[in-house]
Amino acid sequence: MRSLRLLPAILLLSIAAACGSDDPKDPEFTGDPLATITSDSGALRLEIRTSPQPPTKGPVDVEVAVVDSESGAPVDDLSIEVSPWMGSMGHGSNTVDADALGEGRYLATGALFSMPGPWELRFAISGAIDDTAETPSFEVLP
Amino acid sequence: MTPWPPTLGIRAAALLLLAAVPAVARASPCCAGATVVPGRLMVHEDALVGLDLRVGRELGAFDDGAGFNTASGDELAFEQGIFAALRVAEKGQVAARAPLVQTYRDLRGTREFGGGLGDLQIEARWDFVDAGQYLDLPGIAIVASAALPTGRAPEAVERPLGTDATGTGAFQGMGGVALEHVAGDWLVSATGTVGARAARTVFGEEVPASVIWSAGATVGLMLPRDAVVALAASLTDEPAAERRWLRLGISAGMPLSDEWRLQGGLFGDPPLGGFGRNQPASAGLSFVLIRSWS
Repeated sequence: MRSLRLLPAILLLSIAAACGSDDPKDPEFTGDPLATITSDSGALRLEIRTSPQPPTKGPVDVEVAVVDSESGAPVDDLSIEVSPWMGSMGHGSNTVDADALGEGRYLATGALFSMPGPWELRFAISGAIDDTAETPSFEVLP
Repeated sequence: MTPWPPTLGIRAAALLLLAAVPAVARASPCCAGATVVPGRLMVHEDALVGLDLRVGRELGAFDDGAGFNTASGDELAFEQGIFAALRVAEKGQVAARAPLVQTYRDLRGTREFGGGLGDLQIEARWDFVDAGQYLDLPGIAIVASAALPTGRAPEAVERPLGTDATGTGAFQGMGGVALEHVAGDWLVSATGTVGARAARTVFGEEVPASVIWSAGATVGLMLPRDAVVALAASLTDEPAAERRWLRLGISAGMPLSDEWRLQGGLFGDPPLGGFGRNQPASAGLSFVLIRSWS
């Protein structure tokens, strides 16, 4: 009986202890891109990779490689906001600012796919050029 | 139409009400779906208050091709609701429920627990014919409900794993018809509803309204001491989102006294390909405690 009385306290302590991190691995972006898209103005081409890829439910790191559509030259000096979007459910998720890595590459850390299913990634681009872009829908695994 | 003997009619009504454990509920706080207040007044009751507890575990999800994929992480959804129902006319009742929602997630080595107030629910019901009133005519009622976006929408989360999302972010409305027939110690009920997730603006973009259909059936059996056990199934479909899912439930209830009753149940979405589409699947249990006044 005594152990039963202690059960709620043990459960609460377990949950409290569980709220933390086991030092997730550094993101890896290898292989074919998840999507290659042209920005809405047509000026930029974006290669999108995620870590993990294919993306699974939870926070995902997104690498965006940006080149000029005509010349193919990497484009730096951009500010890029990345927003996951789940059109089928009519909701989005967090918006993440991407850090510039140089040579036209940008990294958004912790874009959240809060549930499995069909999602898109949307990009708001400013700086050297103001533009927007979005990927086709892709499946986020549970 | 042949009226039931009064005692049998009341007994049948009790059977119905105890069988109405909320086995059919939303899959997760941010998923639009049927809203059900788990308290319903019996014909002789004027008011009730209650407490409900639910816990569910995500099993995986159905993809666009209706295939089932097992969850790679761990997610538990907790919900506690307080609710009340009030008779406003001989045949009419209204109810409201305020839920507290919490989510625990363990995804790729990161664990998080969060929650808050969920979406408030209001509900109305009008019984044109009470269940058990006639031998050869089922109970017929219309129901209507609404969910108000008082919870935190998925795009408004602040925590890394989004466990602070507690609502859909959208108004939802639903209306439908409920039929209930009692034969001896057996109950059969069927409910059909059509609802909508209202249009809203997110990140400056208009998200259009979306229609949600739902059909449910319950079979209940009365046991000794006025206890009851029931099996329930519901199928929900949201065509615009190409989303559908089947939920099954088994529930039991028993009166503790003339004023108090206790209900409990297990629910689950069959984790098998073909039983859902574009929808997470979960399983869990619920308890409901009700105090009523006559």
